[in-house]
Amino acid sequence: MNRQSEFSYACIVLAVASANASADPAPTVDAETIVIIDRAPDAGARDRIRALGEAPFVTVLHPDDHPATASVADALATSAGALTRSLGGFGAYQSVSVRGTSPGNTSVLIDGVPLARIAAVTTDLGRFALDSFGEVELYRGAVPIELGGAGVGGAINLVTRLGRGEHGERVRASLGAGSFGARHLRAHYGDDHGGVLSSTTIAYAHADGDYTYFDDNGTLLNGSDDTYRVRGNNGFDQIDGATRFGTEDPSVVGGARVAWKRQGLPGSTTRPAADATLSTLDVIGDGRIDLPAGPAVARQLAFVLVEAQRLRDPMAELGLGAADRTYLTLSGGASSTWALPLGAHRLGAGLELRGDRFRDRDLGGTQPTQIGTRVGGALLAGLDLVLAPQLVITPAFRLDALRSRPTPMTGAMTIDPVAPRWDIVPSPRLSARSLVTSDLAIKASAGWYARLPTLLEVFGNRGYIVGTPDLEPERGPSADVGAVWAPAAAQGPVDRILVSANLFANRAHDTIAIITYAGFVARAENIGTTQGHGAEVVASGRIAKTVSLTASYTRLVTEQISNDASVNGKAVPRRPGHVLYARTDVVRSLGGRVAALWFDGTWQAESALDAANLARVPGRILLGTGARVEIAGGVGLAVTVANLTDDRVTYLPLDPPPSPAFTETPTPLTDVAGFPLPGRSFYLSIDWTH
Amino acid sequence: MNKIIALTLFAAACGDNIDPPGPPVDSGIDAAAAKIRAIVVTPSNNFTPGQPGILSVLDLETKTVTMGAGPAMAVGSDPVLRKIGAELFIINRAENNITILDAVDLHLVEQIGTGAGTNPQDVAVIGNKLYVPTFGNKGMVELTRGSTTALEYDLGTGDPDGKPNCHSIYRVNSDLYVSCELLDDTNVNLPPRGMGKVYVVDPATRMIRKTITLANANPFGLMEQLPEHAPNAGDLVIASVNFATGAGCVERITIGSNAASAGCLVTNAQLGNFASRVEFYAPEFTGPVNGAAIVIPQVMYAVVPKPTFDGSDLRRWSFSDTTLDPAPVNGSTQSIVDVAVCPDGAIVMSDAPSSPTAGAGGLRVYAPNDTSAPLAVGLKPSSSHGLVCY
Repeated sequence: MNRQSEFSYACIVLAVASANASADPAPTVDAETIVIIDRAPDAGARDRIRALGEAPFVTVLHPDDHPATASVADALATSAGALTRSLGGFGAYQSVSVRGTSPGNTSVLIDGVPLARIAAVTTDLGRFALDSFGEVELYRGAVPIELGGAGVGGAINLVTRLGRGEHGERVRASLGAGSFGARHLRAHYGDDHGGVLSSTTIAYAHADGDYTYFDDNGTLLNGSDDTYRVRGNNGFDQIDGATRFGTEDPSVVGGARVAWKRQGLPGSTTRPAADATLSTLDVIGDGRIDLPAGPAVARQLAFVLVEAQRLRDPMAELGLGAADRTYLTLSGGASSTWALPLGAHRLGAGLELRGDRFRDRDLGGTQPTQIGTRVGGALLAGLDLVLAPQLVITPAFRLDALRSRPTPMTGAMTIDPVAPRWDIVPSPRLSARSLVTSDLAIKASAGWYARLPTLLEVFGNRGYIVGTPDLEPERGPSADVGAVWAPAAAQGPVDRILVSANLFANRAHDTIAIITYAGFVARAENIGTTQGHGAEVVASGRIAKTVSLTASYTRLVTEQISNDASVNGKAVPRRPGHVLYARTDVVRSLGGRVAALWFDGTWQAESALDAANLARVPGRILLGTGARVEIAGGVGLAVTVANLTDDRVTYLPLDPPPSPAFTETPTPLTDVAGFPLPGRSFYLSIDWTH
Repeated sequence: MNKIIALTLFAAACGDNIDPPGPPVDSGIDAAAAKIRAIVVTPSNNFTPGQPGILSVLDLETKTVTMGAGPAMAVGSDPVLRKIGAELFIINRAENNITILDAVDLHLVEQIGTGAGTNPQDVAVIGNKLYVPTFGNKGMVELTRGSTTALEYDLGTGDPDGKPNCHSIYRVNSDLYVSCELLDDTNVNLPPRGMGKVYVVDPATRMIRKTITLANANPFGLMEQLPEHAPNAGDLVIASVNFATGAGCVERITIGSNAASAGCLVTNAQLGNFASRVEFYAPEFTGPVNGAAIVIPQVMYAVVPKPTFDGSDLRRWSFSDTTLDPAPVNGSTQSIVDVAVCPDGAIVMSDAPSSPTAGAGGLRVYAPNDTSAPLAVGLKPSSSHGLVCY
């Protein structure tokens, strides 16, 4: 078992054997099974047991299913329920929206440690290389209580794999280069040292990001000045390393992860920045130990997080005035969670303590240093009720209490003091899973989640952003119900079958947004409610042990609820009603060497460009392809082509049109207006496993 | 003494992937009838970059609003509106373009880019040339209708950071008056480097004819011209505010060969904050009617944010006795951010509630028939200079 920080180890997951379990020698889902990562090449789909055995709808992403340079966000983009938005190119900022919620409603954890949300709630998932982790878990709906006080957008847990690889390999190394100056070098070593498993990774990545993009010169209604330009100041360098050790059982696990990245901040096409940069250093250290305490098991966990950033904008290209600032976030915490068997049931309870400190320092000395702290804790409890051999219901409850405090200001910048604030956030959750047969599970979950406002939103920045001390947390329910069918045995010529289908709904009250007022003053406000519902379908299978097909489809209906009639009832911007990702892999042995060829495509339906739904973003299809061939001695050569059709322009419909013949206008292909995406790109990599 | 302005010519590369605008489609506006109407352009929701605003038309006779009357994408996320001659000029500050619409039927005349990063603020017109003060570069660009070329004027010689933060322009006869805030762009608080400047530019020679040093720092508003029948008619006024101290006023600038600062009409201390928008009503005095002297006061309206910035009021200041009405024109629950005076004397106001939970607001008409509720225009009318009435 290599999944870290699993409260489910003790109190969440109980898999129950089917009464008529198949005689197939494939892994079955047994009672008391602790769900693990399973690679069962010829006995059902990857993660089959997990898909059937866990109550939440969780998507597990594996690095070897994605290109060598894929970020965590790139991989999440292939999942049902997730929608990523990129500022453009390899290494660029990427956020993830789950089930239509704002990105801040999805918490991000690394090996079970929640990243700090005191200064910002949106995490750049483009800066995490997928291959630096063993897997990525996307909890689309229900979130286990030990994974923190998540928002209505679920949680993403980046997990380090300990020990050897799925095929017994100890060493993995790869290097590659591609379009727009992209290159990487990565080495991984993982082994079993006599009951102690290890994992060590070191990597370097770089890109210039100097792709060409379509530029409408800011004049959508004038085509005579349209041209193509080269994106500037869009490169990055990144070095990261991680090492982790744990016992095989795994009662003791610990490790450290360090990542440094320096990136150019190109600004938008209407306000480009040639000299702005951001440097980020992240350090994460954590350790845990499981101790027996009578019939119970007590898990003790501690962690530290450090994030140091330096923003340089010497030419005032990004904001108001030049900036040279450092941001430092320090976090530390500990938890003790206990699991107690109660006959067929299990009771879990725990206490978490956490402290965060954020400092914003202006190196130019024009603004006083701002410091804020947030300390608090959480009580959590969950009970696995085995109501029948095939039915497990888990009521769980989490109560977070946090105190946020700004630094008192003195001297010339003294303003009205802002009192510290307490947030008491209850988070009840209920999940249920019924294993109808050994291959079919029905799942449902419901919960009440919240995301706390950041220090900036509550206390302002003593500049143009005014604090809103009485700001309410965003909070609301999320629920889903569905089924998973993952037969262990082949169905005719088709094996590795996994079909998952579910309905979901969520509602985020008191959505927080920064509102601009007269005099360029802005403040955070609770602007209303957003809600969404829809369906997710995931299907995969392999035909004749050669052709694999995978598809993830999301139907999403979003709505804003507001006193503002201009947005009330309108769809949330940039949330397409339909998103489909599909991929096919063809794998054959040629001359004794395995060769693979794949194609994929992502279709997004039309969506609203703006909150008032005055303009529309047309639907789009982006295609990709790649191939990999084993050469010899564990060495493989792979090539990847992204945006195969070189789409760089999309056509915005004009309604009302300026003239009968002028009904649409070209604009750059973007996820975020003003930040164009690259066209076709190539990447060639060589990998070695041993 | 004339000063030479360094000029830079830049042009966008040309493409041919769309057709030029053709004949207009029906905007839903009755072009034939000469009704008094107000045109409002709004920013996008929360001024979100990349998202469109909206142009709507209020018929003052029927008090009905036609939403989305202009062509799509004519209004950007942070627009300013001027009516010059028979055309409407939408200065799309975030999108770096000037969109020109016919003022009668609102059809698209032209959209001209000012260049990436220029951040245009205002516009003046002489012939086929547009003069656009810019916040993001050296001060002003000259555009030519039907062309993609832009000529950059360097007005930043008086500002060490090279960006004079020019914010407004007004054409007076053949001269251009360009106001610049002269902020310290190396400081994130953008403090003013000193008193604001107004450069009088001769577009024929492309030289600065005169530099006027204002009595206050940070000329923050758009320049307006005192109307024909007002005292000192033809002079310009501009509002200023030093955000660090609140100091500033609505300052008058004389025009012509002796152009100079002529002091304050009303100070920020009197107003309670700075004026984010000024407008005038100065009808011609036509003498006694039926033996009784009819005196219609000549007034200046000023939009003034509340000191807490959680709302905004419309204040009225009288030219005759230079006093400020003690109470705002608007009701206490209203948040007036923009104003326009119509030819018949009606006052149209943009009511943009400061609270995001208070709705989108809309337009209100003050006299002769007050509107009891804001007339929705499709988005919250938050622009401080997005309203004209004609």
